[in-house]
Amino acid sequence: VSALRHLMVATCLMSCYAHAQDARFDDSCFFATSAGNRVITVCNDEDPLRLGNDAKLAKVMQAFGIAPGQVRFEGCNGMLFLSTPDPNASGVDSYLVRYPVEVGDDYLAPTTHELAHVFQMSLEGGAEALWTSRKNESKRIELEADFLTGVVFKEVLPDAGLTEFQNNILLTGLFEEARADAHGTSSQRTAAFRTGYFLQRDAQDTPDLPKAARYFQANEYGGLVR
Amino acid sequence: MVAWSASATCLLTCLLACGQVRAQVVLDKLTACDDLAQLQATLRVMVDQAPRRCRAPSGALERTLFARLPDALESSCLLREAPVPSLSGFSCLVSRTPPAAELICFRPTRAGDLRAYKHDPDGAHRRASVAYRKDAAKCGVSTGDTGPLHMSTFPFRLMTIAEMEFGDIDALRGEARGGSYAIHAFSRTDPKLPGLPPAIESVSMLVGGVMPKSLSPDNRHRISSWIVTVDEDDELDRQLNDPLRRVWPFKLESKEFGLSRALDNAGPDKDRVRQVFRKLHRGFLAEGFKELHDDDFIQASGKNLSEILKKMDEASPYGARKLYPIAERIGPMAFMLNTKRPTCTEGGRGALMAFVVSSLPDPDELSDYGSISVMLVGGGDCAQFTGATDRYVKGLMEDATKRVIESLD
Repeated sequence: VSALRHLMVATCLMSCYAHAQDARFDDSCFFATSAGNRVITVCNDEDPLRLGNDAKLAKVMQAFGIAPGQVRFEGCNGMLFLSTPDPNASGVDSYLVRYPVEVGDDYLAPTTHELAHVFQMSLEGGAEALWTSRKNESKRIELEADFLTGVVFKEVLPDAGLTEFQNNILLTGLFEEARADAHGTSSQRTAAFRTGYFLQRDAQDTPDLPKAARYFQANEYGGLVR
Repeated sequence: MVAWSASATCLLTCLLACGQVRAQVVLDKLTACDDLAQLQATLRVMVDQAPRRCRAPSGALERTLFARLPDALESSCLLREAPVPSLSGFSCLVSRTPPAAELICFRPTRAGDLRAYKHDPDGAHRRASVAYRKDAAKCGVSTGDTGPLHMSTFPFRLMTIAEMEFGDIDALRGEARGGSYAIHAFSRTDPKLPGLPPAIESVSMLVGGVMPKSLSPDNRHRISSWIVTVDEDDELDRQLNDPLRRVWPFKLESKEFGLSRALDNAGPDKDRVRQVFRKLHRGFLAEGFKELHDDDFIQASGKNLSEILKKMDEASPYGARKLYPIAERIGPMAFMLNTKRPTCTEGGRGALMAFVVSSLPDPDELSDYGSISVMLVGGGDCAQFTGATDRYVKGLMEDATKRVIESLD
């Protein structure tokens, strides 16, 4: 039971982000795919915003090394952004990204953040392995995803601009937080994103994302959250 | 009775409502577009031309801040009036270190307002701050790069009395990236400083910011698997020397060696900074420097070395203590005195002091291996660093650099 709960918590912590009020977070993350006595948001297994065909997100996925078809997108009313191993897929390295239909034109930065989680899970060999490798700290996972979003934005979406992330209400973070599912305060999230965006590339043509993730954990995370 | 009761209730409600209005954090400084443009233009002029009309600090807040600025008398000016209408009611301080100039305006605010703002249970304040930054990005003077402020970007001069709670930053047009920005922030003041309001609101602007010389790639040296970043920024020495010379006939020259390794090589040998320290220490002793001990410090200042270091730690900027915890990171150090060399010491007319201070690796940064600072301070006839003294000091610094490199090779 402990391992299962651990896995559920891990999946939830890494895939939802902190714009939600506490109650909404619980409802839409913990119970999005599990039965319970809370309200379950219904998705229709559709991708109403056609994010699966979006040219910008295709570039983002390519930068993350995510193959087409490796991720399934679902848009739901009132849903939080969420990434998780795809419960319906037969392959082990398949993922599901859920998004709120209401996000509209502001989809790019939060979806990139979710795809960063897909990259993290794929890199580490699954949700639980990711959780363990990041010292069981949700903030480590989340701020790394923000950092990787910055790296990828600079690489493939230079026209999107910094404010696409920094002033996106879904990613702006909290002024203060003490929750178990911490994602970082607004200043920490922005700093993580900018650290990735302005990361020196050491004359590489393309950033080495696994190395960048390791660099973030080893050299940047501690200073950012101090 | 009923009428009185109703009136009293109404009055009470009004007072409470008024209190709530006052309790709000108002985000309007970075959206005062015309004022920001005017401020930037004024500040650019001030880089070369000091403000003509300065005033003495008054009140605990101004006096405390002014007293804690090392360059206050030399390069700072409290303006007689707010430079733009939106800063009416703020105290405004201009500090010039050409080619840069910084304006810091501040006024007391209520700590309860800050707590209430940060609590934000329904997300209303976050939405307001996002809207604020989006509106600020539309100003002509803005590059459009607006975002939440990180503690490390909070003006260092304000860190001497306050720690940033939250704020927003707006990169401004017309200069290289990072060269000019405006900040609107709210911070808590150091409770140990008497007479200060518990919190302040501040608006600051920088123009002419440049990358410090020490961060230039030219000052990074690779020695086998090591990277040594040499910080020999003369500006820092100047900033220390100017106030120092007003008190004592001393002159200081310093150099800092930051040790790091690329991530692939990082991890082992974290004690290397101690070895480098020992090599430098022995070098100065071999040169004829004599170690200063606790008795010497007590005789000179009435305090032993650990008491002096504690005082130094207490004097470190309040707002920077989380970022740079000096007490936790200080490593081995040595204080030495030379009364035999160079020639300026003859007849007891002068002396040269050497301070070698090490800083331990940042535990949160795998690639960081700490740093070593070498400070040479000339006193009496050795305070000029001219002619033979200058050559001797430069030779000592070159020798220190060589020893650092040798101990890493």
